[in-house]
Amino acid sequence: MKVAIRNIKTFAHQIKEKLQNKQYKEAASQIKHVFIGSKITNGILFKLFIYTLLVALGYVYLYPMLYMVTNSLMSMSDIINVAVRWIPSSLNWENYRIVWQDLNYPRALMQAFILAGLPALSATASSAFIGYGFARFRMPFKKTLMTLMIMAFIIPPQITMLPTFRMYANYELLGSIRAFVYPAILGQGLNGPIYILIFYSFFKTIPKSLEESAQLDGASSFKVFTKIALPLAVPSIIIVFLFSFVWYYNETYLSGLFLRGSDMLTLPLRVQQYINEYTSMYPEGSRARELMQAVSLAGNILSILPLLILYFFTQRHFVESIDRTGITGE
Amino acid sequence: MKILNIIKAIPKTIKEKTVRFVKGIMPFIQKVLTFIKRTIKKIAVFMRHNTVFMKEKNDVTFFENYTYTIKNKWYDKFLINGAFVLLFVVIAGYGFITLFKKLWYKMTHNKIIMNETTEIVFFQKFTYRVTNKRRENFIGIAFIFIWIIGYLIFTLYPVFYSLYLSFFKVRLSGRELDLQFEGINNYRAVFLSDPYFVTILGEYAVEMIINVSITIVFALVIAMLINQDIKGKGAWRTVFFLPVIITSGPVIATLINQGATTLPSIENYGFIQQILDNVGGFIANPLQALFNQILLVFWFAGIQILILLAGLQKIDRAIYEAASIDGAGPWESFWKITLPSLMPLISITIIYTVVSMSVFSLNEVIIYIQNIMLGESTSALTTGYGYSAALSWVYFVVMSLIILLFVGAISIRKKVSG
Repeated sequence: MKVAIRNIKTFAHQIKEKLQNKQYKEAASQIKHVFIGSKITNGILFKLFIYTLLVALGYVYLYPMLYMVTNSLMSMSDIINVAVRWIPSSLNWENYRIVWQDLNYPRALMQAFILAGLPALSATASSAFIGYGFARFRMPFKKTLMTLMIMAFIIPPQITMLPTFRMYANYELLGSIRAFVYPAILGQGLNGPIYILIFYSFFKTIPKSLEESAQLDGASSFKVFTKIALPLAVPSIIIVFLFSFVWYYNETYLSGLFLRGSDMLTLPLRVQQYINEYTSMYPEGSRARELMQAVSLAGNILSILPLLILYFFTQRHFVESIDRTGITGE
Repeated sequence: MKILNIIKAIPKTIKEKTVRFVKGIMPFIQKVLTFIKRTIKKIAVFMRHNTVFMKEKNDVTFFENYTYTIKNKWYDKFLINGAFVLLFVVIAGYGFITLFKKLWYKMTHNKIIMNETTEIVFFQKFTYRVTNKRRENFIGIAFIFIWIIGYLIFTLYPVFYSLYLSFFKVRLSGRELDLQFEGINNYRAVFLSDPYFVTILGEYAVEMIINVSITIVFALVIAMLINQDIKGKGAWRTVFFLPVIITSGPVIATLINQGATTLPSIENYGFIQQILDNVGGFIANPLQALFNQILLVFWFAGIQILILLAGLQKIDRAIYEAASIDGAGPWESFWKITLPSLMPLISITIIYTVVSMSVFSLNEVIIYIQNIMLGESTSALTTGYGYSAALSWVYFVVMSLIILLFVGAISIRKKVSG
């Protein structure tokens, strides 16, 4: 900031001097140089343009979030009042209190964490294993297998839905967390191919000589994997775990089917269920129904709050993830 | 003829024999399992009740002298039970591993299979030479073995089974499926007698083409803005990636219900309404839908922005400098340098966008298929599982066509431009 102010001061001083010496042309060229730049892309005007665009787009982007936060804090009179658009007249935590109590939030959160955490853990473990196998060893039909793996990503879950549903029903996996853990252990979890690809491209970058030296000392392949490859792969492990955790946490289609009518539910589904019950409880047009909007927003905020906190602390890993999938070349 | 009869007879006897064998061996396996269970229980009981460590209902006695009373606090219980579990896992794990090693040795060094360093001998007669390449193949397949099994069970089998079901009329009778062959009648019904599905599928296709293009362009713009020489790159990336973390069906459903996904100022501009009024319904409806949830379309761009940004950062700055020396402005260098080098990434982002938008749980087509599958649809022509399988295959084909269309369009451009 100080540097910027000093720059501006010297700039103004130079212009003033030039004007006093009646060097109008030089002054004009200097002004042009600063504002437009030697190329278009390094002048102040261009910078200003970019920042404005970014701020505007950022506002548009975050608009639903802002809407959720502010409206969930509004009291009934604020919602009805047209004049109150953004800032509630007073912070009203009542909505949150209602949802917190009715959902039994701590318990629901605990369940949601288990529901997301266990499958995420097993998916991470298995995909590290599989990714290492694909990256390190020559084997027949490797390319075919990898193509098949990527194909599986494109097939929409509706196609495999019916047989899978029946299979789970036959083995009585419906309504329990096992319906998510078993596929994850076998590397077929939610977005499984992506995790395998992340590990695949990471293990490709480890020099093979590192492992060969261990093999000369008599370590088996499995030992090489656990003692050398895995400790090096910690960043990838964190990324895969975070991603699969978030995806499992937000999953509603599969969990809506598999966990239908059971006691275990993911948090977003539970909030939705609660909101539906709440709506049907009060007749159309009653005062409680007016409060509905704010309460449902508060519920949604509570359901995404854990993820927001998680993201706040670990965002570096999320952002780095793309580099590690290796889809950008190398 | 005799030979034929013999061949016919063989499977039956073998079948009966195997059934008898399995039936005979089942009680034995059960006995072994119960024995193992009992031993484990005995070990667990012994671990809690011995001279060093004695646990009664609320007291823990060490060395028969020091007594500690467990207060009814959760952490006390947690600590004690946790310690037990840990101890048990360590001891039992060690025991099992040593046992397993011995077993493994016995299994690989006997008269049937003899594992030597460079060859494996079967029945002391047939040798199989183990070369380095073969060993590597074997270990590699061992590593991905769980994936192969999972793929067969959870991906390949359901895919083929649903393809099979889509040619049948399926009724649920109890837990069994009652199949009745229909040929391609299901598929015919999709196109000929289900006007609703064809309509929403057409809308989906048009919407997808518009939305995907907008998402990609938006992602490209944002990625290029962030890639400029600006302050706080990390912060901007964080902001634009945020929706990936928080979007889930119910959250978005609430936002749509409350009208928070449309730009607040769009309704104030009459000209959009005017455009909508003046074009045909086939284009106007998807456009209207687009404007109603434009922010959602933007929200799907999180991962794409990161992919394109990573691609932009990989482009060598020297190329731009060389181009600007030759007199190319930013406009030319965008079309001649930036876009061509991003092309492979753009096709990846297109595939990703189409897939993630198509499988999103609020997609109308998906909701329709799901309702038919679970028998919650009120439509009269539903024939349950078989019909919904046919629907989802049609959906999949349309989705692949859209992907092909986009990728094809891109590769044509590449050929034309050189």
